[in-house]
Amino acid sequence: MANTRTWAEPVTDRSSGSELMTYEDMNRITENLAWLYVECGEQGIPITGSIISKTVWTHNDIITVSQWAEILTCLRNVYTAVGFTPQTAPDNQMLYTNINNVETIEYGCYDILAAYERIPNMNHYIGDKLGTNYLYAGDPFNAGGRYD
Amino acid sequence: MSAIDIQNSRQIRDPMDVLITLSLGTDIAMTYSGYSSAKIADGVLNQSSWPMRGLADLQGNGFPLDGSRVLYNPNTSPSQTNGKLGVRGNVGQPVSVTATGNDTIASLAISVTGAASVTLNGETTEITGSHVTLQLLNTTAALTFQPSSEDRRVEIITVLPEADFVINNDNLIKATVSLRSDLSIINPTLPESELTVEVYQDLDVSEAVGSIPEDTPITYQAGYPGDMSPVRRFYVSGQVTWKDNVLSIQAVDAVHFLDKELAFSLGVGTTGYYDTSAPSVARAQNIVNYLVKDAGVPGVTIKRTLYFYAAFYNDGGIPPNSVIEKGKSYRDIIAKIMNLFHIDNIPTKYTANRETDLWITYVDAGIPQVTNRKPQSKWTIQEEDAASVNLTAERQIQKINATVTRYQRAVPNPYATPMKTEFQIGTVDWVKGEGAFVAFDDYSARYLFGLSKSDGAPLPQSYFEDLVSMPILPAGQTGRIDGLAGNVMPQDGSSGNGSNMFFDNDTPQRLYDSNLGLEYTQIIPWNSAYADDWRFAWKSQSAAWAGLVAAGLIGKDDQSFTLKIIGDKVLPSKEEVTYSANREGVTVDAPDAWFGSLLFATEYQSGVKQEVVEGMPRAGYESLLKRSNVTCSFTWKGDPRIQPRDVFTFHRLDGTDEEWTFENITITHEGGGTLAEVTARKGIV
Repeated sequence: MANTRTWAEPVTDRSSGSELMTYEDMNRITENLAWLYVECGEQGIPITGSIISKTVWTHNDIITVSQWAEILTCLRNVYTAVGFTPQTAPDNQMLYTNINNVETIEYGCYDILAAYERIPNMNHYIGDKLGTNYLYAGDPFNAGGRYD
Repeated sequence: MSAIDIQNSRQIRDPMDVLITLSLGTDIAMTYSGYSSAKIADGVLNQSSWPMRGLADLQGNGFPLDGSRVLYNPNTSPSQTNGKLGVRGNVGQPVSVTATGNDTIASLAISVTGAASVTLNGETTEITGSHVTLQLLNTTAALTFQPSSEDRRVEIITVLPEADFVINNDNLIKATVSLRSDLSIINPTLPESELTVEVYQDLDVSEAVGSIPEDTPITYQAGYPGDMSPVRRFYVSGQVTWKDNVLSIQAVDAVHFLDKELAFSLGVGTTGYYDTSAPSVARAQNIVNYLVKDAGVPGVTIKRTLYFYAAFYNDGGIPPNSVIEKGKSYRDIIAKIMNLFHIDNIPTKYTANRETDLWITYVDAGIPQVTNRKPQSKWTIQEEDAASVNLTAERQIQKINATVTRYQRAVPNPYATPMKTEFQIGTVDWVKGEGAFVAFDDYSARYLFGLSKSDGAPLPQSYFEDLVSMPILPAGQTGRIDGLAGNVMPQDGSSGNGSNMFFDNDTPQRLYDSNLGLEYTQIIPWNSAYADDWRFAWKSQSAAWAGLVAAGLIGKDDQSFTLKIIGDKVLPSKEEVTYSANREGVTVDAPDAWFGSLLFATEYQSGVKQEVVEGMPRAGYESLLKRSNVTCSFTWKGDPRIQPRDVFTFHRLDGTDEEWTFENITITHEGGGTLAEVTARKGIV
């Protein structure tokens, strides 16, 4: 089944505290989280927890502690599943550096998942699926040791 | 970026909102209900001085990612520290609130943002700024606010009864706010900040304003909707006048409360009985806060109850060198502390001194606060944005001749057996049925009272009818005798009562009287060597030393007794200490300074004694020599968030950046414009 969630290019270059956090930013961050979660499932990568529950934000929202905690939990579940190690774990501060970090982690996870998807196309028999069939010994994915 | 920053970055900025509130006081208690269509609400609409909590709110263009906004936590209680939620509606939707008073409300003063209008009893009033006043003459007001746009939410900050006379752009003619400090090197004062306001008022209120008392609170803030400066508190000084449709108000900040004479003496010793459990900065903060609160400045809290405490020293140890301040004003003392407080040299228990930088900042206008964080630049001013920049260099100070007063105090040691030194100040005969009063004066860290029989034998408990009622009171306050009951606490922290305070031979005893509050109350620790004797020392908060109050100590024996007063002799001496810098310059005389550490001790928290000794950093003359002799003044567009002692980066015309400290800022709002006249001293003071 194809991933029905939508991936959007993360914003990771906020440069000062005067940058504004909008509902569109929240929509992108949470929808990307949903995409990553579904993609893990699509690629057969085990992932804990549930998909992010809220992906539609409006002008009327005020971000709550519990909502942000869910975002951070889902983010941690995703980057743990794909094996991405963030330089620093994001926290509750509404600082541009922290939000950059959240989206950078999403981007990093996306890159890994995209690589997973490319590798079997290059090195597997047609029809192979990552995590379900054997890879050729010595291929770059296998060398990484993720699914041995 | 904040709205003020955005506006300040423009060549021509929008007129600032000015909000000045004269609090005339009211007994009307308000309740709030019916938050129809509210997104979130905490019902705190009667606290004008509580800030609105900045939330991660996605309304409008979103919120700045500068760390100023927090995630909404419904479990956070509203408070002056946490801020409040007020009542916040859904974006683009009206929101209603019902305000009810327990008496007839003449009118309502409403602070709100994001609202275009408010409807009360079918009548709609347009809201152009962030404040509106509505006539009511009723006990209940059902208010409905309409949002200013589809993507903004109404945020109701306060709904207060008429007691607040609100001045804003609608009626303001001119407001001048002069926020002041004194960063001069030698003998700086603690100057008052001032607020002067002229208001258009076409109703004849000359009679009403005649009854506005001095010290009536008046607050000032300025900025833009949703981004107002912190509230600055002032107090009316002089007569509020109304003439030719202009209401004129003058006010000063809380510094004027510090003008009274210090109600007690400050004792300082270089050695003593220390406890270092509290962080030194906390102790230093407590000393300043204690002085500020004790002078009667409203709204200041102290973390501990402080009691002055004599510096005990171990038998055979070095007698403490003490300095005692007496007869000066709180303002003088705090000014001195602020100038010399830059080095924390609080002696720790049995160890060498620590040296940590301490710094003074202002909280609110003119109220000092001690911190161990060196101030960082908070503001940037481009010299090209400033006019009439005028730099002045005072002569460098090469040498400071400091006059230091030491007081050699010969202290009887209550821990030693027998006491090594004992100075008998006087005796009073005391007969059955009568009390004894002894007046004594002059400097001393403490007095000991020994009650003994006329033949010199100790006076046992059995000679008193009712120890619980023993009056240890300031002169003229005889009505507090009963207050001692139940307030007597043993030194070991266990619960106790009056009956065991003197005669548990093995346990040192102290007395705490909550009715005396912060007044000097000190009981010398019980010493088993004086099992049948008892001693105490105390001082009233009033300037005069007091003694035992007549008709207090009631003997039930026919025998007459002698009250022997034992005190500490204080032998003051002055000496000169010279500090110098390796440069040319003038020699100046510094003020009389303290030497040593100020000792406070003994607090009772929940009935349990906590031994706390506060330390006074020694005079930091070296820091004065490091202070820059360069000052400047200039005219600037102004920013109401700035306070004296704030540090700013001065971006000079030649491209260099320099750190300066604001000394005075006078902001004038007039005709929709805002202008600031600034003086500053180079460097971080």
